[in-house]
Amino acid sequence: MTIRKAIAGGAAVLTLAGRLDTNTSPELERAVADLFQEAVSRIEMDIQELAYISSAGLRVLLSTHKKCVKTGGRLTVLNAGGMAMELFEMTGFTDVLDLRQRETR
Amino acid sequence: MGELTVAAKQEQLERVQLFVGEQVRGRLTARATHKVLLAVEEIFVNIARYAYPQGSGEATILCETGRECVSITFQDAGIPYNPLAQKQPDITLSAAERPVGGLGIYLARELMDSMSYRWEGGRNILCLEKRYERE
Repeated sequence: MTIRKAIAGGAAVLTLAGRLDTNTSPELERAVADLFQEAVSRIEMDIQELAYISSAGLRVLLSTHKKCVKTGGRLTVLNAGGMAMELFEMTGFTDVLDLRQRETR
Repeated sequence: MGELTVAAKQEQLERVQLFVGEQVRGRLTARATHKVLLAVEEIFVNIARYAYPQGSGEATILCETGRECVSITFQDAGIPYNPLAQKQPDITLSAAERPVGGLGIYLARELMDSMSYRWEGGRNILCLEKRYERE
């Protein structure tokens, strides 16, 4: 998995690509922990280029969402693809996460 | 029928998924294959984490392509554990009420058409099936 990070005006965009699985999800946890270290709690995660996300990835999304809420911030998950969306529906994450599709770029 | 035996370690996940991917190639649609690989992660990682609390051991994965479905069987000689007896998560809870985690086995069940467990000859045997789709 690769994580591209951009910070502007106290908000961060993490663009994820590749596989978010049991073995790579700690990398995302660290990237999120780094943002909180920098007092950034408004986070957008663009997952359009994520080819694969398992329950380990869902776990990090939920824990990040919770941390953001606790610190008065917000997590927005952008551009979930078909399979990710299906997993969000199966697990009720569609009611929990702020999911958005960005306009075609 | 294909068979793979690996150390029951998380690092072996991609190898196990590659093996299963090769075994089902041409049999399942891309979407069904993706679902199978997700279920494989959830089951294999569960074995890697919990089957051998005292040390290390192996897991064997068998793939069989039948007339109606693909079946993938996981075997390990670890502590007896039936993942299907695990309490189902409540997926209607709000974020604040939800525990983080505990979705893996639930997802595997949702993604596959059937899952069955038995304890036989000192081994955990978990069998997953995915039916062929006509598209």
